[in-house]
This record gives sequence, structure tokens and C-alpha cells, in this order.
Amino acid sequence: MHGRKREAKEVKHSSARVEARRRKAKLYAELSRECFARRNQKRYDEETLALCQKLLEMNCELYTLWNHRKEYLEPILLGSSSDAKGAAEKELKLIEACLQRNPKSYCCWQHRKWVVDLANRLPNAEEAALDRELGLCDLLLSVDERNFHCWSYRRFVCSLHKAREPEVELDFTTDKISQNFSNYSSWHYRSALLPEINKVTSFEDLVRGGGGENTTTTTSSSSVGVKRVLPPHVLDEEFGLVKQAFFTEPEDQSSWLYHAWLINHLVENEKKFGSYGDERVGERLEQEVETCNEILEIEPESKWPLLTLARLLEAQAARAGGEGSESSAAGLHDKMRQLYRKLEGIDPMRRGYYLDAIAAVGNEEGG
Amino acid sequence: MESVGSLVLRKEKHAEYVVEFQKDKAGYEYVASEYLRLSGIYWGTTALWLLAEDEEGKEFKERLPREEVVKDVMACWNGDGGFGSAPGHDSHLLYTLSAVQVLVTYGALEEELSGEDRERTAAFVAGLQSAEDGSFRGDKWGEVDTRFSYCAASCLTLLGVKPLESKIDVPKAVEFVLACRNFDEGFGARPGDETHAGQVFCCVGALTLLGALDRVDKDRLAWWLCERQTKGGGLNGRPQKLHDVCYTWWVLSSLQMLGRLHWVDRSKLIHFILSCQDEIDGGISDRPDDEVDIFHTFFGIAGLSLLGYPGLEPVDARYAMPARTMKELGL
Amino acid sequence: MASRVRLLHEPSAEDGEDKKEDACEEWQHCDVIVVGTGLPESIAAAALARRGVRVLHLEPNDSYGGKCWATRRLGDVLRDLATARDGTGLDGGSTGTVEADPGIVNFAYPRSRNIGDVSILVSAEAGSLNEAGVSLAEDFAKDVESIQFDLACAPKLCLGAGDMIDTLIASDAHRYLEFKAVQSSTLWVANEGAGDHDGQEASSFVVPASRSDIFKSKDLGPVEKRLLMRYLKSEQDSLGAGDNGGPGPSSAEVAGLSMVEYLRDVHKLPKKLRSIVMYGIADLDGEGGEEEGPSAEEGRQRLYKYAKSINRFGPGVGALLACNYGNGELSQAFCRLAAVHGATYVLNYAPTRAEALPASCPEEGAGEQEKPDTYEVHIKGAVPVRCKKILLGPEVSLSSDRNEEVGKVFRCACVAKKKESPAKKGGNIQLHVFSPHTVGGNPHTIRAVCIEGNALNTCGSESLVVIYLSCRAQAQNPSSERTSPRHVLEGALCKLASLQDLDGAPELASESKDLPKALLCLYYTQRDGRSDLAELGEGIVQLGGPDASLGFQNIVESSGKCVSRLYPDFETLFPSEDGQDASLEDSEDEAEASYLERVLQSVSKSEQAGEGGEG
Repeated sequence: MHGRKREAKEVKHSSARVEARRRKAKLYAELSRECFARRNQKRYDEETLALCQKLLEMNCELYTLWNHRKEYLEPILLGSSSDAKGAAEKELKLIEACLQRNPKSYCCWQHRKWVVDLANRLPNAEEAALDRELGLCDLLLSVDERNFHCWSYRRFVCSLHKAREPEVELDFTTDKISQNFSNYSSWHYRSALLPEINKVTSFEDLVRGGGGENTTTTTSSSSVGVKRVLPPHVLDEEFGLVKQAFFTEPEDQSSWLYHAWLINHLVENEKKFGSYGDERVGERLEQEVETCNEILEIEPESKWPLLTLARLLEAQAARAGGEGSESSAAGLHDKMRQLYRKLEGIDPMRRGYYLDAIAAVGNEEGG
Repeated sequence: MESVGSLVLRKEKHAEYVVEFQKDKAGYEYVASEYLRLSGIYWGTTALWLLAEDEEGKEFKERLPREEVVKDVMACWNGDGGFGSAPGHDSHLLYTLSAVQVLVTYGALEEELSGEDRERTAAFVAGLQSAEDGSFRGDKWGEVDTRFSYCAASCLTLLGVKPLESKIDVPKAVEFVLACRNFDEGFGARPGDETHAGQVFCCVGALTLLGALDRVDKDRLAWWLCERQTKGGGLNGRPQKLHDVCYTWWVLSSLQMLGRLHWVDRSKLIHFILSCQDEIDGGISDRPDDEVDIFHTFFGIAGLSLLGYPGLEPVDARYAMPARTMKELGL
Repeated sequence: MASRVRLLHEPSAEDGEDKKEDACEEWQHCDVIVVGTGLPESIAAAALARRGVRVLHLEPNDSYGGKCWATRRLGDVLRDLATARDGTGLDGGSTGTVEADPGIVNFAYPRSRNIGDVSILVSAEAGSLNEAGVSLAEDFAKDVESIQFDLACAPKLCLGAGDMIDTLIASDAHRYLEFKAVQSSTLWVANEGAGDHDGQEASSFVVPASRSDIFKSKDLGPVEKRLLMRYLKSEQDSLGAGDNGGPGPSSAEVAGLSMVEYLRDVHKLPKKLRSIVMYGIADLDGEGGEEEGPSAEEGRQRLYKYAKSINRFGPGVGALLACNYGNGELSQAFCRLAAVHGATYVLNYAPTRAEALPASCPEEGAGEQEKPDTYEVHIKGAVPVRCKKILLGPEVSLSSDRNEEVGKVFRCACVAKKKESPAKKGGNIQLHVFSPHTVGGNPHTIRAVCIEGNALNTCGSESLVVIYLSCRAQAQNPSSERTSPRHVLEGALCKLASLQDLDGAPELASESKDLPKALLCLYYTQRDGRSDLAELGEGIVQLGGPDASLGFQNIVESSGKCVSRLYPDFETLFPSEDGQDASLEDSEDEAEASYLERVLQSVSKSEQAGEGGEG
């Protein structure tokens, strides 16, 4: 059982305890039999629905009983009768109660999506209903900021919500990161939103400093020719943000993983397009090397700046490689090897990784 | 038997725990877990297979009669070709895969499901693919998740569908999985969803079975995975979360498929798993001193098997089934 | 447990009426008479009552909390301060005396015992000052009468994981209360190289007290961020490692060091970061200097509690909480709790004298309640009451008060009006801390709690702000010039409000034009209750009033000490009721089983599909 403490054996095996559980099991089985018998008779009367609801309130993972409710609700929600909205609201209330108790239940979230999706197609659907859904997400994310079901549901609601700009969602991630910059879920969302917001069709757009004219919220549109690259002013901000996290707590991996993405994004796009528009990649790498060195001055044994530094040097060496400056690349390789050796000592659990990294640098020591 | 510190794998205890769980059909744990019973049978029986032999050289898997296991599985068969989690429960891809896995492991697929039935099951699975984006649904109600992409690929392969293209749109299935790839090279449940080690397993597994693993940056993804090992030696599912035995499996099997199993600290991880055992009543929990369950018991044992813990039956990382079975099938 | 403390946005449960009616008959059966319903007395009364001690709780004034602790109407406070200015009090200004007979103690209630050095400044808009005190301008008077407008006598804030909240939770008195989070803490420090007395040279920034504050802070450079975070983390690790309940054993490097030495020499923190730690977070009074400064031990304990307080009541909720409707509610909550446990409450009754009864031998093996009474207490307007022990609040004066050297707190309550009416209702609660020697030349920390509009439901007008300043008074050096509360606090006040319109020509100009305009300033000196716990005789204990610190630690501590002085067996105020955890799991099974049974019963009457289905 996730997170449930093991009981003392004398309690677990006590006759009173065993008897209470037997009794519970018997009653549960009886109710379950009754509910499934009715479900298989396709009964959708009020009493049956209420009965199944009682069982669901106790065990919300019973997907078949949610399916039973879907069968009952589907004609109502697809019809145009006036009680469709009321039925949806009633259902959402039930799901909300289940989610409050069990915020990680796949079937509760799925059922909610299903209801909201249909309710949103009703002729009298209102945006306020979607705002309410976002409010529920806010609430549950304030209880557990990493609940990935809830984050996923939030994105689903945003995709239905025409007025919800990705910029507003970006602000939401900024707030969450300000509360706790270890919130990897927020950094992740940011990495998905930024390219969406700053969609550009060419590097000329990038130079003009504009976001794309054609900003839609669908994430699946990966039309050919659209370069999802971040303009320099956005990069400035993002590098600035992670830097605050680095200095506050250099051991926090979320911000470093995000940083690794920013660097990777720069280097890969430069490779792909031959340049990164207006962005001076070399200077940016140099600046980040400096940041790592500044941190290492205060925290010389800190893993993340050491590792990041090694990778920055690797990127620099790769960029220098083409220009024939053999000796400077060799110097960088030496430094990288030193860094990986040091990391091997500091972080022995990932020794295998560092050894492979050293091997990949090549064995040209001193040369 | 290999021991780490004073800890050894309590094979006998775990086997007793699994058998007891499977047989105590009036116990609350059993009745209240009907919503995933068939997966429970898969976890329990596969754990017994992987535990290999007891001290007297008898196979642990013999402790649950084959006919009973197969009967329990077939009781969940629905006419539409799919399996529900328990008799009377609706068909769902998750349990359909579990059913097929158990039947294949016990070598009972062909005797229980006629060619026509197997065809129907394959059609049930293939019918869950979206023609639009190549994703898979869990059942007719439409939940989309990369877990289901994996389930479909695994299930169809186990059913002997060859080539997969004959039943599903493989290129689209691959594109959907890749659309779920994130900034950290990991994978989420749907496009835009956060990377999660469980989901990484599903996606790496799906890409492996669909023959498209070369589409991922193995170094970057495997590095993210090896960073899941925490100070305590266990593995977590996402950055800055607690370690948990079940991630042993999701992370290790992915690393195995990516060819980088040696990037984690093997002995620390073994120690962590062993410290999650209930030494008295058997079973393995998510973390030391938590309540055990059949799910963590299986993933703990499967993880140890993958780490080469002695005396265990080797496990196949792609299918989470005994490697011997897969070899016999030529997979 | 923690989550059971209610913050304001949650609904509140109504509770029964207080017992207010006279019940002279009941008075006769008491063990302890408590005089004064100030906060520490009320905590003690509740702690005693909950353990079955029979408590008679008398309040000399007409409202709970008395004059030292209550949140009171502006008019009452003004009248009261004017009286204190005259040196008169409830009993004509005399102090109590101990008669020649040592068995008799006389009680008196002079206002001057707790309040002095009153100085009132008024703007023409608010009214004028005359012989009788303040006469409010008609419009302003109408304003403050038509709207609810209260002033706090003890403007304090709770630490989310501090002693007050823990005591409320342990006692269950939190059910009666609601809290609001303080939105921001601002620290004022003297600029480098500026003279001590030059208030113009002070600058301010938001206190980066938590990991997320440090991350967000624009006032700290990257290296400062690292140093501060590293220090706070090291304290959290070493203090939290001790056990789960509190600071672990202090290491050798802490022993004997003052907080300044510890931060400067052991942790090498620069001055700015030291100020943040000592004044912005740990709420320490000063560095010491002539007197002994706060010890590293004390400072670290405060840090530990502060760190535990952050986010205790939800993400983004800071360490400090303010009691809705004012701190007077705290006394009332404990009084209610005491009443629930059988204590008798009477307002407007003041004991005048206690006479010791001749000693008689208790019967052998007699329990506490069977022991004979030791005092007969005479109460104006009632028959004498006998009891075993007496607990006195700070308003009671005895002859022993005379010529005694007591600590003082400088206080100011300022009512100011915002330049523009705010669009948003409710308003913020903010804390400003002036580190020592920043303004006014005082070596102690000045704390300013600003309550905007109706943030705590104590002010009906959204455009008014109340600013409470307080500061420990410097020990009076006979040779130096006497300092006054106004002299010390005005420099800080002018950073928070414009004083231009006040009658009496303040010397200091405020810099910003956007500051609210001060309408009314009340400066006074209050007796410092910090170390006021006196044993006045066998079974008679007296508690002090509010101290200068921001929190309630000293108050809760002295309540605890007081209870254990009266009853040495009572070591903790509210011991937890144990023996419940083991059966919890069983009852969960049983509860679920009965739930299932109820559901099943509801179907058994109608046709059952399970059986009917086959037919």
C-alpha cells in the first residue's frame, strides 16, 4: 500500500482485528455482488444509481461502476433536454468528493474529463464552468503541487477553454515556482508553454522579437517549418530565473534539469539551423560557465554545477571542434575528464555514468 | 544466497504471502481489489515464477495449481474479446494484457483461446487505436494514455500477431509515443504531460516492441533515469519524490532496454529492496516499514531478478515476464 | 492536528453562550480565584479547570481581557489613557498595601501601575486635545462610532508553529478562533556609514525568511542568497536532527556565545544577513551592548520555530498569523474553554482584600479538593469567598510595587488615513521591523504591526490604517537624559505614516508622499510583563502584562510556570490525552463495516437484483 505504515503484528493478527476485517469483507462482497448484478441487468433507476454511488464512495477505483454511470449519463448529456446541465453538475460534485479523498485515482479523473467534455458541448455551456474546473485544479495543486493527474487535467481544461491564453498558464507556473522552485511539474509545464507562446515561423521573426502570429493552444500541431525556438529575451529571463534557484540551493535538481534543457535547446537548434538567429550561443555558454564557477567558489563540492560545467565545456568543445583549434579542444577535454573524475567521487552511485562519460571524451590526456 | 548486510531475500515468506493472498478469497484485500484482480493474478503468479525454486528444489509456481490460475483468468473473459478485471467487470486493455501475459506464461493461450477467440482479442486491442493520432484508448470510453500504447504492442505481440502492421498503424503509434516526449527526453501519459518513470517504461517498451527505439536520445533519457536513484539507494519516479520499490522495475527495465543498466548503484538498490520486505508475514512494500501488497512484491522481485540477484529466474525487461518463456516463444 | 487550526477562509463553528450571570452560590465552591482575564491568567485558568480544579475567574472591568490585553473601543482607550495621564485609576490611584498583619493583603487597581508617559498627538481632522483628554472632531467621532473601531492593547502576532498556536491546539481552544496570515515582513536597516540617529539613512527590504523568499528576493545578491540559505539550512538540519519536537542539543560551538558572535564568528555572516536573521526572523531585541545580548541558544530556538511555521497552514502561508478580531479573542477563547470545564466567570467584580485563614491540619490522605481553604477573599459587592490559591493579573496593585525597578515597553498606536481609498476590501497585515540603532537611537528593535482597513474586522473603514509600534525601553541610566516613547518611536513611525498634520509639530518629515496621513497618535509606556511572575506569599502568584516581543512565547511560558507554582504536579499546561491511537485502526474497519451494513439495509427491503436476477 503506497505510504501506509505497516501494522504491529500483534494488532494485525489480534482476533478482534481479524474478525472486524472479515465482517467488513463479507459486507463489502455482498454490496459489490448486488451492485454488479444490477449493473449487468442494465438498471439505471434511481435506487440502483444511489446504491452504486455508495460503493464508489468507498472504493472509487471500480471503473465498471463509473462506466455504468456513463451509460446512464450519455443519452442525457448528448440530448438537449434542460436537465443535462444539472445532471452534469451533480456528477461533478460526486467526482469531486471522490477526488478529495483519492486525488490520484485514474478513473475519477478520466470520468471527470468525460463529463466535462460532454457538458462543454451542450448548447448552454458556459466558460464559467471551465473556470470552476481550473479552480478545482488550483485547490488540489495547492494540496499536492506534484499531482500529475491534476496537472494533466488542467491542460485538458485549458484546451477546451478558448479564453485561456498560454501566457496566463505561464504566469501560473511562475507563481508555483516562486512558492517552491523544486516543483519539477511547473518547470516541465514551462518547457511546454514557452515554445508554444514563442512560436516563430522563421529566424527573421525571431530577430523582430515577435512571437508567432499564429498562436494556437493545441500542442499537437507540429507543422513543418515552424521553429519552436526561444527568442533571446525569453532566454535571458529563463537563465536568470534558474540562476536564482542555483544560488539559493545548488543541490536542487529541478532547476538544473531545466537548465540542461535550455542549453540543449540552444546547441541543438544552432546545429540544426546553422545559427540561432540573433542569439550569440558562444557568449551564452561562456556566461553559464561563469555562473557555475561562481557557485563552485562557494560550494566547491557541489554536484550539479560540476556536472553542468562539464557539459557546458563539452558543448564548447563541440563548437570549437570545427574550427580546428585543436589545442583548445584538448584543454577542454582535460578539464572535462577532471570534472567527471571528481563527480565519480562525489556521486559514487552514478559511477557507471561518469566512467562512460570519461570514455566518451576520449583518451587523449596530455595531448 | 546473496546477502547485503544481514539482509537476504525471503523467498519462502514471499511465496507464502502470494499464495495466501491468492487463496484467501474471502479476505478484505482480495474482495476490495476486484477492480484490478486480473493484474493481481499476473503480479502474484509471475512473482512465483521468478522466485524459481524453494530450498527443496521445488518450483514455487507449483504452489498455485495451474488449472485454478487459468480458470480464474478465463472467468474474466468477455464476449467482446477483452478481459475485465474480475468476472462481471467491463473489458479493459490493462486486464486484457494481464490475462494474455498469464496465459502465455502458463503456456495456456492456445488451449484456452481458440484461433477465433485470439483473433477477436487482437481485434479488440487493435480497435482501440485512434485512426487520427495513433494513440490507444484503454476501453471504449476513450481514456488515452501511453500506457495503452505499450499494452497494445505487448498484447498483440504475445498473441502472435505478426507483423504488427497487419493489425495496427505502427508508424502512427510510434509518432504518438514520440509526441509525448518532453524537455528532459522522458515521456508522459499524453502530449504535454510530465515525465514519469512508469510512463517512460511504457514508452520505451512500446518503442522497443514497435522497432523504433532508435528515435530516442538514449544517453539523455538513461541519465534522467539513473538520476532517479536517491540517497537511500531506492529509485523514485520523478525528481524530488520519495523512492519506492515499484520504480525499481520501471526504471531498471527501461535502463535495460536502453542498454545502460550499469548507471545505477546495484548493491545499494538491492539493499533498499530487501529492506522493504516484511520479514515475518512476507511481501514487499513501497518503502521500509510500510504495509506490503502484491504489486510491490512483484516489482521488488522482478527488479532483483533484473539486477541478477542469485537464485531468481531471469526476467524479460520488455514484457515483464520470465525470460525463459519469451525465449521459448522466440520473442 | 495542525490542520485543525482554522484560518479565516474556513467556516467557523458556533459555540454556546458564555456564562455571565451572577451565581453567588457557585462562588463558594472554588479552589482557585483568578483575578483578571488577561491572556496568561486565562490560559492558566483553562489549564487548571481542564484538570478539574474549581476556578472562580473574576474580571474587575466590564469586558474580558481587561485593560492590558483586550482589543477595545477607541473611545475607551482614549479615556483610559487620559486617566493614566492623571495618575488615577479604578480605585482613586492608591496602591494596595500589606497591613501590619502579614496575613492580610489589600488589592488596588491603579491605572498607573501599567501605563505611564502618555503623550497624545491629534490632527485637526481628528479632533483636539484638552484638559479632559481628547475630544474627537464631530466627523471623525461619527466615523469611528458608526464603524466598528477597536485598538489592541497588546498588538502581537502568532508564529504558526509557535507556543501560542501549539497551546491552542493542545487545549482545543483553537475552535473558537480564526487567523489571518501576515502578508509581509519588512526589515529596516541603517545604511552603511550612516550615523545612528539619522533616520533618513535607513533603507528597507522584504525579509527573505524562507527558501522561496530567498529565491524570489531582489534585495539579495546571488552570493548573499547562498550564504543565507546555507546558514538557515544548517540550522534546520542540526536543530531538527535533535528530535521531532524541538531543537536538539546545542553543539559546543554555540555554548556561551551571543547570537551576534555566533553568526559573525562561527557562520561568517555579513552584517546585512545577520540583521535579517536576528531581527527579521528571530525577533530578537538587540545585540546587547551594555546589557547582555540574546544568546545564540535563544536565537537558534526562535529560528527553529520560525522555520517550522512557514507553510504550516498551506503553501505560501508565511510564518506569522494574526488573530481575527484582535488578540482580545485569545483571552476569551481560553475563558470559554475554562467555562466548558466548569470555571465560573464574573465580570465587574474586584476583590479588595485577601485574609489568610488559620492553618488547620488536613486529614490524612485527603485529596487536593478536600484540603482546607487557606484564604478568605473579600469582594466589593459580594459575600466573601474562600479559596486555596489566588492568581492575580497585572492590573492588581500591591504595596510591594512601590519603588520597584520594572522594565518598560514603549508603545505607540497611530490611526492614519490612506491617501486613496483602496479598491480592494479587507486589506493587508504587515510587519515592519526596525533593527537597533536604525532610527531613534534606541539599542532595541522596534516592531511595527500595520493593520490596513478591515483586515482583522477591527475597523469598519477601508481607508484607515492602524500602526502599532513597540520597543523595549532602554534601561534607565540615571545620568542620561530620560527618553520618552515618542522620542524613540517617532522616527520609525514617520517611515510608515506622514506626521505633518499632527498638532504638536513633529520634528521628522516623512519621505514618501504616498504614506497614509496620521490622524491620531497615542504614545505611552507600559510595564514590561516579560519577567513579571511574582510569588507574593503561600499560594498567591501574580502574572505580568504584555512584553515587548512580537510573539507569545514569554506569555505562554509564564502561564506554564504560574500553573506549576500553584500546582507543582502540573508540569505541562495541556497534557495530551493519550491511549486513543491503538484502537483507531479497529474503529476504521468497524466504521466502514457499519457504513456497508446501512447501505445494504436500504436495499434489503426492496427487491434485490442479486437474487431476483436469476428468477
